[in-house]
Order: sequence, then C-alpha cells, then structure tokens
Amino acid sequence: MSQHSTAFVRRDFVDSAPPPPGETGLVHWLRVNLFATIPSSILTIAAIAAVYFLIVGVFPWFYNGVWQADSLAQCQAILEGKTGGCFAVLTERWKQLMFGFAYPESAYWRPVVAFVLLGVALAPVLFSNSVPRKMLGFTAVYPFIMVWLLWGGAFWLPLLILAGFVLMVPIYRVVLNRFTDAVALLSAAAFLVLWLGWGVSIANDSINRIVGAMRMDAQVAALQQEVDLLPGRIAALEQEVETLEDAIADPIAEAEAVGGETLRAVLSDLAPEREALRDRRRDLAEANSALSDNTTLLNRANELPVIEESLPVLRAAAASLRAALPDTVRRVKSPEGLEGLRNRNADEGLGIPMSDFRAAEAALGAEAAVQTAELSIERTYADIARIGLEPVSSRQFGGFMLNMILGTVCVSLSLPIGILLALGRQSSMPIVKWLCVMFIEFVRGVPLITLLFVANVVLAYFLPPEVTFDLILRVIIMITMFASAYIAEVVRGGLAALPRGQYEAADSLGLDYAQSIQLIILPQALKISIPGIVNVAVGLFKDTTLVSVISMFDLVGMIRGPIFGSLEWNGVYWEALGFAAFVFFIVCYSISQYSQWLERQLQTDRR
Amino acid sequence: MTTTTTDAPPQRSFRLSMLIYDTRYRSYTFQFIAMILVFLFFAYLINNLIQNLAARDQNISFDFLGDPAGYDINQMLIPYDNQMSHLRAAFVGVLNTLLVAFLGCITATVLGVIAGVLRLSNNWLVGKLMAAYVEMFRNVPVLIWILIIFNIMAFAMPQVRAFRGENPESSMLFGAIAFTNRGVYVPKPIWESGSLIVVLVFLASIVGAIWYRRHATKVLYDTGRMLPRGWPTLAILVVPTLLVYFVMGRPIGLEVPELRGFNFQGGIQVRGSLIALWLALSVYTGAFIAENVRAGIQAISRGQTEAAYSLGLRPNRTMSLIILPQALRVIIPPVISQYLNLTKNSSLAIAVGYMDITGTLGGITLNQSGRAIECVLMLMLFYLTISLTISAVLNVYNNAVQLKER
Repeated sequence: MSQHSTAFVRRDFVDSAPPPPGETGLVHWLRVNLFATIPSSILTIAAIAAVYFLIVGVFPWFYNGVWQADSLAQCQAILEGKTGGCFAVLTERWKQLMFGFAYPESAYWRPVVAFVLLGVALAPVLFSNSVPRKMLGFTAVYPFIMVWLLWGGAFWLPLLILAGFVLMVPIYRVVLNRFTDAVALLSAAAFLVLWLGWGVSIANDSINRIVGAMRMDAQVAALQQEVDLLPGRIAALEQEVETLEDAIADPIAEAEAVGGETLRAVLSDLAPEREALRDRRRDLAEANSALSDNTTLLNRANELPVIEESLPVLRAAAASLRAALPDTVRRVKSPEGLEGLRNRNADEGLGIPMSDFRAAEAALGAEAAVQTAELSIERTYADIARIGLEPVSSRQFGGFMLNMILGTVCVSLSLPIGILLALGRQSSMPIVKWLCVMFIEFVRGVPLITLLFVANVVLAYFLPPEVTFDLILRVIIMITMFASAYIAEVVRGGLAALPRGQYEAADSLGLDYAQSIQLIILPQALKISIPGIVNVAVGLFKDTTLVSVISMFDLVGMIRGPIFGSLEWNGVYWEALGFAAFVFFIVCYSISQYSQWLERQLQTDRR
Repeated sequence: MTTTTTDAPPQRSFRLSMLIYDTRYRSYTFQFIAMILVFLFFAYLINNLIQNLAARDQNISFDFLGDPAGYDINQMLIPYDNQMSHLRAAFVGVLNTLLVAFLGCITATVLGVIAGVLRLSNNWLVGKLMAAYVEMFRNVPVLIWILIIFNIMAFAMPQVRAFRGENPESSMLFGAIAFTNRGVYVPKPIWESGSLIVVLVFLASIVGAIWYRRHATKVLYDTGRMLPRGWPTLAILVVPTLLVYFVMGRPIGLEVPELRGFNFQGGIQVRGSLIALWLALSVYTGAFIAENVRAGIQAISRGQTEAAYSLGLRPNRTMSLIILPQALRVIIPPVISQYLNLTKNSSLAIAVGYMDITGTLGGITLNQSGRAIECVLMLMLFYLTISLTISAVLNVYNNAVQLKER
C-alpha cells in the first residue's frame, strides 16, 4: 500500500472555455472563407465589385420594367429615357411564345393537358421508389394519348395504331408455339410494320367511309345551320371589337401625349379592356376561319355525289391518255419532270416533237384530276366522319410547346433505339457490330444542323414520291437518330462498366442471350447510365432550339421571326432572348438537379 | 455385359434447321438477315432517289462547284470575289470555320481552367460565383447565347458616327481599338523589311527558353540544385527579341484604324458576327471545360495532397508537381471532346450570318445551285473528317498517357 502525497487532484472536468474571439461567428467565417490569404482577399474584393456592378446595372432594368404596353414605342414613352426593360412584349405575346402563332387558341388546353399527363406518365419512371409500378400501364398508353391530344383527329386512329402493338402479343405467342423466340419476334415485328404501313390507313379509310356515310345528313344539316348563324355572330363580334377599340383609343392617345408614369397607370388600368379586345379579336378571327372552313366543307359535302359519280369516267380517261403516250415522254410522271425534259429537249436537241409534250401534258392533267377527286372524296368523308378533336397540322405547332414536343418525343424514341445500338456495338457478330459502329460514329461526327438540313431539303429525295412527310416528322426522325447515337454511347459505357462476371454468371445459369440481357445485364447497365442519359436529354432539349435555323417557329424561332420582325416589337432584344434563356435554364437546371438527386439515390443503395 | 465405346462423339450432319436452332450457326443467320435488311433498306432509298431525280429531271453531279459563286463573303482569310467558284467559296467557309473554332478553343480553355480551378478555391464567394457561371451557361442553349451577344454587338455598341466630331460621344480604347455596331476595329500589324529577322529571333528564343527549362530540370535531377525558372525564361523570351527589334529600326508597325468619311479605314475589322460566335462558343464550352477540370482535380485522391504536404512541399508546388500532372490525364480527353463539340457548334454561325462552311456551302451555295444532296453530303464529310481526326488524336493521346500498371 503506497501512499501518494499529492497536493491537488482534480476530481471533475473543467467546463470547456468558449473559443477565443475571432474563431467563431461571422468574423471567423469571413476570415476563413473570404479573406484567408492576400490573393484570396483580392479575389473576394474583385468578386464583390463584379456582383455590385451587375446588380447596379440590372436592378433598375427590372425595377423600372414596363409590363403593360402595346408596343416598344409606348414602352419608351413610359420610361422617358430611364433604364428599364420592356417586358410588355412577354405579356403581350405570351401565347405566341408558348404555343406559336398558328395553333388555334380554342385548342390550347390540349397541349397543356398533354404535358400535365406527361408528368403523370413519367412519374413511375423518374421516381420509381415512391410511385406505384402499376402506373407504368398508363406510361405505356400515354404516347397515343399525347399524339391524339396534340394533333387531334378522329379518336379511332390512335386506337388503331395501339391495336397494332397489342396484336403483336398474340402473334408472338402463336408463332412461339411452333418456332423459336427469334422467329416469333421477327414475325411480330413484321406484322407491326405491315400494320402501320398499310393496315392502319386502310382500316381508317373504311371507318371514315362507313361513319361518314352514316353521319352525312346530320352533319350537313348541322354545318348548314352553323354557316347560317356565323355571319350574325361575326357582325356582333366586329361591333364589340369596334366599341372596345373606341373605348380605349382616346384615353391611351391622351396618355401617350403625356407619357411617363401617367401612361403606365392608364395602360395598367385599361389592362382588362385591352385583354378583352385581344380575346374578341381572336374570337373574330376564329369565327371567320370557322365560317370559311365550314362553307368549304359544306360545298364539298354537297358536291360529293357528283364527284363520286365522275370518278370512274376520269380514271378511264387518264388511263387511256397514259396508254396512248409516245415512248419519248412515257417516263415523265410529274410536271417538274416534264419541264426538265422540255428544257433538255431545247438545250441538247433530243428531237422530241411538241405534240408529244402536249400529249404528256394532257395525260398528266387527267391524272392530276383523278388524284384531286380521290383526295377530295377521302377528305370529305374523313371530315364528316370525324368524332374527336379538331385536327391541328404540325405546321401550326410553335413556341415553347414545339421545343417540349421535340424534346420529349425524340428522347423517348431514341432510348430504345440507343439501347439496341449499344447492344449491337457490344455484339460478337462482326457485321452487326460494324453496322452499329458506323451509324454511331457517323451521327456523332456531324453537327445536328447538317442533320436538320437533311430533314429540310434532302430527306424528301429518299422517300417515295407519293409520300409526303411533314417537316416536323422529318425533324423528329433526324433528331431521334442524333440522340440515339449519343444514348448508345452512354449505354455502352454502362455495359462496359459491368463486371465480366455478370455476363458469365448469366451464361452459367443457362439463360439465353435475350434473357440474360433482359434480366441481368440491362437493369444494372441502365442504372449506371441514368445520369449520362439525363445529360444527353438535357443537351438534346437545348438543341431543339436549332430548328429555328430551318425556319420552324419554336421559342427562339418565334422571337427571331415574328417578334423581332413585327412593327410593334422591333428592337426588344434583351427581354425576349433573356426570357428564352430563363425558360430553358429553369427546365434544364431542374433536370440536372434531378439527375444529381438520382445519382445520390443510386449511390446509397449500392453501398 | 459389354459396352460399346466410340472414340469420337457421334458425327451430326448439318441440317438446315440448325441455322435457327443451333447457337453455333444462328449468329450467321442473324447477320445474314441483318445484312439483307440493310441492303434492302439502302436499295429502297436509292431506288426512291433515282425515281425522284428522274421525276424532277435532275442528276447527282458536282460540276456546279466549278461555276462562279456569284455572292460575296464579308470575311475571308484568302482572296475571294464573287466571280470565283463555289468550291473556292466553300474553302473560304472552311477557313472561317477553322478560325472561329481555333479562337474559341483557346479562350474556352482559358476560361474553363480559370473557372474550374476557382470553383474549387477555399474562397466561398468566388466558388459560388464560378458555380453560377457554370450553371448559367451550361443550362441555356448556345444558340440563345450567340443571339444575345450578337445583339449586344449590333445594337448596344455605339454607331460609327458617334466617334465623329470635336467632342465625340464615344472614343477609341487606347486610341487604337474602336467598338462599333459594325464590329470591332483593331490595329493591323505592318510587316516591313527586316521584320522576318525579328520573328526568327523570337522563334529562336522560344527554343532557347524550352532548352533552358529542360536544362534546369536536368540539373535538378542530377545535383539537386534548383535553378530559378521563372524570370530567366521571361528574359530569354523578351530581351533578344526587343534588342533586335530596336536594332533593326522597329520594322513591325501598327496600322491604327482611323475614322475617314462614313467608316473606319485601315486596321482589321472584326465583325460582330465573328465576335458573337467566338465569345458565345467560348463561354458556353468554357463552362463545360470548367466542370471537366473540376472533376479531374477532384478525381485525384486527397491522400496525394496530404502525402505532398508531409514531404514538405508548399501548396503551389503540390499543385504543379503532384496534382496537375495526374489530373491532366483525366482532364484532357473530355476537354478534347469539348473542342470537338465547339467545332460542331460553330455551325450555328448560320444564325448570325457568319460565313463559315455551313453559311457558304450549306447556305447560299445550296440555295443558289439547288444541289441539296451534294452540298449537304460535302458538309457532312467535312465535319466528319474533322471529328474523326480529332478522335484519332485523342486515341493516340490516351494510349500514350494510359497508366501502365502491369
């Protein structure tokens, strides 16, 4: 037992002292994060100066901004030389910026509903943890709903197309009972191609004929009634527009003479009236076009029996003229071809007599008459039979809606194609592999603009003469090609990142190629490549603005074309372009934030 | 009981059904079918093409390239006038594309490296500012940036007449550079006799500087003695050149743009379209390069920095000797593919009327000659050549710097 003789033993802990001043709070934070070293301090001061000048420059521009005006001149009158943005262009042209200038206003709800439903359809894909998987069924049928909503038309057309996809399943099953899966898959795909190529249009035409014949009398009566009523409505609308114009013209003119804040106050006081005037003008335009459309359709419906009767006669005439053509001009199938041949005849002296040209002209004329008659009958039946939404042609699409359509449609189409290309590039079959490599490297090696040129001016040469794709469809084809090559590279990265053992394990379980890809490889590879795919999607969405170069009116195209070109807004550059930048920033930034969130999600469950 | 054994497995004769059922042969069947389908597809396309051409009485021919172009190009690096051929116009366009791509790559790299490094700095404000720059430019289409900068150049810059008069509203920067709505006028170097010698001396001093640095490294490795690097390099670069320049009697002069009549005369006019394209592509691609640089530096494990510190290296030497050499291996491949993207994006020149290859061959030549297929084909081949060349360079580089682990 040893005795310690210590003077003092501390039996309890000392309370921790507060950190010295300068090591806590704002001062410490400032010293560590902003003024740690001399270079850092210089940078901080430079950064503060930059931010200050930015704010000083931009703040009055927003603060004095004019949100209610009819033209740039009014904006300038309100501002009286002060710095300020003329944001009135956005309020005034809001609908055009969003939907383009040709999309019928009465149908604006359709793209809105389509994009709301798009969110619903994407939810089970994007948030697979929190949204029930059953929703994927809706995702599968959504494309048909979207196409129907956007383009309109009779309700049976999307159903017919959907039927083709649904019918693939029994065909696959039936063939699988007798042959292997590959044969079954090929025959199902062949059926789909045949169905989409011919079946749908034949079925659609017959339905149109039947329904059209049934509804003919009722529709003609209804049309007649509308055509009778519309002029009265138009007159009333014209009256209303005139009253409104008179009501607001004088106060605005007076205020314009004064300018400044008076004008601003008057314009915002009159905002409801100006809005009403815009609406009435729109109603008037729509009533006018409805009148002309309905009158045309009514006339066509009334002429229908006559045309139907004359069709066989026309056909016989065209056939006999064509048969009687001399060999020299028999090859010519179009007026342009005839014109070319005529030029060559003059230049190179082919020695074709004028009479041959006249005969060819007559034959072409008769054939054109037959075509016109057939088309007119078909269209009349289709118009009379249509139960569904008013059709909107793709030429009428525009504004930010067009960017959204191109972005979503092309990304979703390019995903499966990209995956197939990536699998093909990894394949052990040399021919398949090299076909995929060539496609991918070619597409990745050229700018999107050249592909859009192809869509605009070249693709028509490679399609059969009687097929006329509209521009938007051609653009969708080319952008999809473009995107699928990039997605293929991302997916290839995912495939390459999988350990070799996964492939071997799948083989050793006795899974065949399709099974191992479907059950083992793709689920893992896609999971790895999701961030990359989202990046491609963002890039593609930004690239949809390039269509403005081939004179399509997307958001940027609307700004560059109709808005910069208009009398009222010529000279409003910052506000419009800044708005476009802002819109794209919001969408792209949220997508990339989502991608980062997803990356974190995936990371946690791998650890 | 006897068992019969055979030496070889039973020989199975080849049956036609094995083409479908036997995995050994099935791939041949597939490839055969794929090839047939591709051939059919192309045959279909070409058949359509022939029919369409016949119907319009056209043909495929590149003869139009020899015809006089008949249009002017507002910016050219080689002599050109509207009587020269379409081919020459296309070549002017090619040079313009390469010019803007070259300028863009340099500025994008500078911007990207600065932003990428600063984003990782300990300075909170600077880091946030750089993050804002990167996000702002990465998430907005480059076409919008091109248009915005083009409109700044065209409408926010003073008019030429603002420079005129006794008390002009605008004045030239350093008395030599004029920013106008017609573009930027910069001084043009005048090469007089004897300037060749100055240039040669400058080139020789570059070689000398490189040699000196190598020598310094060698001395360091051999003896451990550290020679100064910074100021001798600068001295070798500057002093002899300046000496020769003054000895030769200042042979290189500057032609400063001057306001004469309604416009500036002399100097070089850099058009607003070129500046818009150049700046927009630089800041846009710079944002992407900044991300690559950041990712590359972050890819180097923290342990490397700590190891360097424990060896007693100072922070800047740690960066230049330890981190950067390793990070560059990660950074350079994606940066090169950003250069490729920049070159491809330079085709957006057509939106602001800069006459690059897309503007000449794919724009005016296409519209004037109506030879869509030929023009677009040549356009694609041009870009394809460039990107395949850059890819090849990238592959060579990757093979060269690959870590040789085993």
